[in-house]
Amino acid sequence: MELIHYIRKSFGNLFQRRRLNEEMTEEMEHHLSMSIDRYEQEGMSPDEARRAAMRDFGGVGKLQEEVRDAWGTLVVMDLIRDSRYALRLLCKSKIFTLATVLILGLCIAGNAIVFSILHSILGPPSYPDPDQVVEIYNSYPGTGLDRMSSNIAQYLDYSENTSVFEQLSLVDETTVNLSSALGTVRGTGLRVTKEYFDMFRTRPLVGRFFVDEDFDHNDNSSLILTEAYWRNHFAGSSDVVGETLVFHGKPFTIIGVAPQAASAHFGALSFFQAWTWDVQRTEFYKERRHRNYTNLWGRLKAGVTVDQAKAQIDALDQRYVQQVSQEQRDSLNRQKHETKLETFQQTRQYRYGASLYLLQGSVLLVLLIGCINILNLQLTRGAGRSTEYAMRKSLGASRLALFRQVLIESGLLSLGSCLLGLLAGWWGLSLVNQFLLPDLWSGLSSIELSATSVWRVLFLSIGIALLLGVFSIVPVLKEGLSISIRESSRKTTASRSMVNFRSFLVSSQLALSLILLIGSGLLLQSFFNALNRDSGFDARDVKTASLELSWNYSSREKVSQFYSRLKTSLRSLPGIESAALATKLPSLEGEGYQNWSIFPGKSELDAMAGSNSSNIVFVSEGYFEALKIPLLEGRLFTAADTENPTRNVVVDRNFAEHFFPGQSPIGQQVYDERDRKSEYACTIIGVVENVSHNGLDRGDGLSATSGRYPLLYYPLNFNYTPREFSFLVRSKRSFSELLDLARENIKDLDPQLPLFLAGELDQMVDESLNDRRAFMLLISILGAMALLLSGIGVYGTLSYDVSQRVKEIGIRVAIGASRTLILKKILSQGFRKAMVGIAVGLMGAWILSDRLSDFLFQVSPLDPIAYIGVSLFLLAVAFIASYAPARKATLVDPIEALRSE
Amino acid sequence: MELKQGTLDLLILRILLSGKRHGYGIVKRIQFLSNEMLNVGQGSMYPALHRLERKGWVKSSREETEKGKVTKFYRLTARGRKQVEKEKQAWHDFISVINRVLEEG
Repeated sequence: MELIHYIRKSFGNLFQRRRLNEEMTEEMEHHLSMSIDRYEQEGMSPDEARRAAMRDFGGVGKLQEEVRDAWGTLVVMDLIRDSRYALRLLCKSKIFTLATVLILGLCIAGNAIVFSILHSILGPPSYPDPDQVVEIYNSYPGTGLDRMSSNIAQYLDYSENTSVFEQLSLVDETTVNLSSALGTVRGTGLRVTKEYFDMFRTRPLVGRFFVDEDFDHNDNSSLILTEAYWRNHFAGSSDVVGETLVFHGKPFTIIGVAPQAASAHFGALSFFQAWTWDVQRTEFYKERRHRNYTNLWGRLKAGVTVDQAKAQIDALDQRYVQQVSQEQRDSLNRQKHETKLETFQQTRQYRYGASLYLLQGSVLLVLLIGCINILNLQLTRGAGRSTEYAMRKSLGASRLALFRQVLIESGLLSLGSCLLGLLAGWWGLSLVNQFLLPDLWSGLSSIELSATSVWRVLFLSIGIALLLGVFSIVPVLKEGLSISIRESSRKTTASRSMVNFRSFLVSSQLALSLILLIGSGLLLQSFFNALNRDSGFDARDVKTASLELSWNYSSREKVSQFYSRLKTSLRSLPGIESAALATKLPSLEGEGYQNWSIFPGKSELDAMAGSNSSNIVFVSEGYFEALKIPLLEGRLFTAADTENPTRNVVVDRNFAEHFFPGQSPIGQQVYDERDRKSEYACTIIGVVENVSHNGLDRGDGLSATSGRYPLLYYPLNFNYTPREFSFLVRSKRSFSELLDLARENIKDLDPQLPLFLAGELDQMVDESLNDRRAFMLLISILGAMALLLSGIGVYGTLSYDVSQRVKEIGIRVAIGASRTLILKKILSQGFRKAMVGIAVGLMGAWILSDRLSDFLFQVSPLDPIAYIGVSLFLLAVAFIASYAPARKATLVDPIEALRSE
Repeated sequence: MELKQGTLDLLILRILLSGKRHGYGIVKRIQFLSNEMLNVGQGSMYPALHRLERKGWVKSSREETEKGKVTKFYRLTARGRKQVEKEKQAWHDFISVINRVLEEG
C-alpha cells in the first residue's frame, strides 16, 4: 500500500514539476520574508535582516535540489531515459525485435488460452462453498461399471438415516418436446427434488421455488425456468409467473425463475421440474436399491468431510447388505459394490483434468522452446553488443546501470509480446469457443479470457523478462569488458563456452519438440485408428432421426400402433430400400443401451464364471438389413416377430461366444432378469456379426473382465415400448429431401413431434469422433509450433556460427579446403546437435509416455512407428534448417574474408 | 544543540498533530518549544516536508496566511497520525535502550 502510494506519487510529481517548482519558490520566499520581517521588527536594517534570514535558512540552491530529490522524480526520469534508449535500440534491430515479439507473443497467447480454458473448467463454480457439494454414486468395479448413478432408495435411506448432509437431492437431466407459439422444439432441463435450490444457496429471481405441494405425482405441473431461458424467451420479465409451457402436449405452470448458479454444472438448461414418484409404490422403489436411474447430489454440513460422510453411508450400505438374500449379497460382493462420494472439483478433475493438464503441459513446453529461441537471439545480439557495453562501462556506467538497461530492454520486449499475446489469445479463444468448445467441453457455454489468466500471463512474461535479461548479460559481463573493447573488431570466433552453451540450447529445443511431436503423432494415429475401425455396419446411405412421443400415448397398444404406422408410412416413401426402428443406433452417443443380467437356460448364478450382464437393444424388423449387419447363423426378425411379439431374440457373436462357448446358440433359451421369476424364456433365432456399440474410439464399456461386450437384440414391441426411439432408412435419395417427406408423413400421424438427432448416419458417426479430433488438433497445432520454433533455432544458431567463422572458413578455403568439405562440416554440426536432441527427446518421451495412454486408441504409447517416424522427421527439419547456413559458408570468398587481416 | 539525524521528521509530524502550519510556522514552533535550544537549519525543513508528503504522511495545500500572503500549509493525513504514534514509541524505546547502556555500561 505504502509502496504503491510512493510510486504513484513519484510518477504524479513527474508531470507536475513546473507547478511544484513554482510552489517551492513561493514557500521559500514566504519563509524568508517572514524571517526578514521578524529581524526588522527586532531593529535590524533591511539589509542586515535579509542576511541574517539567509544565514538561518541555509543555501537556497542546494536546498532546492534536495527538495527536488524528495519528489522522487529522478529515478523515474532515469527510467524514462533508459526506456527511450532501449526503444531506440529495439527499433534499430527490427528483425530481432519482431522475431522476439512474435515468438514470445504467440507462446504467451497459447498459454493465455489454455490458462483461461483451465480456469473456466476447473475454476470455482459460482455458488458458495462448492467444496461441500458432492455427487453420490454407485460403483461396481467388479463388472467394469465404475460410475453408475443412484436411485430413490438411496436418497430416502441417506436422507432419513444420516446426520452429515444439509441437503440431499435427486437430480436428473431430462429432454422434452417443448411446444410454444413458435412450434415444438427439444428442450433440456433437470428434474430435481425440493432441496436442490437450497443446496446451491440460491434464492428465486422471480416467484418461488418448489414446495411440498408441487410434488404431487398425479398433478406434477409446476415449472421453474433457468435464468438463461427466462432472459432469452421472456426478456427477463417478472410477469412470467403463471404463464404456461407445454411439454409433450401437457401444460406446465411457471412458478419461478432460478439464478444461473443453480445450473452451474450443466450446459444449456431451460427449466427445472419436480422429481416425483408414486408414493404408493415407495416400498417397491426401496427394494430396488441397485437399479440406477437418477443422480444423487448432496451438500455436506459445514465442517463435515467427505470421509466422515462416506463412513455413515458405508454403514447404511452394510445394514442393507445384511437384510437381502444370500444370492443378492453374493452378487453385490462379486460386483465389488461401493457407494462413492465425490466433490464437483473431483468430478471435473476426473472428467477433464487429464486432458487439460496435458494441454497445459504442452503449451508450457512450447513456451519453453520459444524462450530458448529468444535467449539464443539475445545471446547472438549480446555478443555483437559487447563493444557497446564495454564503451559505456569505460565511460563510467556502473554494472548496475548496464544491468538495468538490459532488464528494461527485456521488459519492453516482454511487454510488447504480452500485449500481442493477449490480443492473439483473445482472438484464439473466440476461435476455440466457435469451433472446439462444443466438441471438447460441451457443458460450457463460452470461455472468457479470465482476469486470473491475464494476471498469470503478465507474471509469466515479467518472469521471462527477468530471466532472459540475466541470462543475456551474464556471459557478456563475464567475458571481461575491457578485453572485448580491444578485441571486438578483430575477433574471429566466439568463445568456446559460449558455443557450447548455444549448442546445448538448440539440442534441448529439439528434445522438447520431439517429445511434443511424438505425443501428437500418437494422437493422430489413434484418431485414424478410430476413424478406420471396422464398425461392423454400413452407415453409408443410411438416414436417421429420433423422436419422442407425448404422454398422450399412455398405453403400450397406442405406442406400438404408432410404431407400425410409422414403419408403414416410411416404407411407402419412394426410393427407400429398407426402414426400421430401434432404441439406439450403434456408435452414436445417446441414451445408451439397457443393461440387464442374462441367464442362459436355467443355470444358477454361480455357474457363471464371469459377468452375466449383456447390453440390450430393441429393434424392429429390417434393422439388420438397413445397417447391413451380416447374419452368421439362423434367421433375422420378420414382421411377424415384431408385430405380434414372439419370444424370439437375435444375439451378436460376442454373446454367442460368451454365453454358449463351443455350441450353436440357435434354439437356446435365455432369461433376462425381469422374466426369470415368471419363467418366460426367449429363444435365440439368429446370430449376427459384432458392431461397435458405444463409439468408434471407445471400448464398449461393459465387461472389462471378459473383454467381450455381448449384445442381445429384442424385437421392439416385446415387453417394452419406449416412447423415445430412432428410425433409420436406407436410401440413395438426399437426406433433406427424405427428411421433408418423412416430416410430412409424421405430421399426418402426430402434428406435434419434433425430430432430433437427425442426419446421415455416416456423418453422425464421423462427428462422434469430434472430441478426439479437436484434442488431436490442439496438440498438433502446438507440435507444429514447437517444430517451427526449433527449426528457427537450428537455423539461427548455425547462421550465426557461420557468420562468426567467416575468416576461419576463408582461411580453410584459401589453403585448399573444398567447398563440399565446408558444406559437410557445417551440416555435420547441425546433424550432431539434432542427434543429441533426438536422443534426449526420445528418452523424455519414453519417460512421459504413461501420461498419454488414456488418450490413445489401439496404439501403444511406445509405438515404434511414431518414435522413429517423428525422429526422422525432426532430423529432416534440422537438415533443412542447417542447409541454408552451410550453403552460405561455401560461398565465402577467401579474398574478401581475409582482406581485413 | 544540533538536531540528531532523523529526528527532524518526527518533530515535524508531532508539531503538525496540533493542526496545519506552514514551513516557517513549524520552524518557529520547534524553536519555541525547545526554548531556542534546538538549532534547526531552517531550510532543511523543506526537503523533509516534501519527503513526508511523498510518503503520504502529510499533505499540503496553498492557502492565505493571516498576513494575506499565499503559501503552502501542511497538515497530517490519517496515516501520518498513526505514524506519529509509531515513531514516538520507537524514539522512546531508542532513548531507553541508549540510557540503559549509558547507565549500566
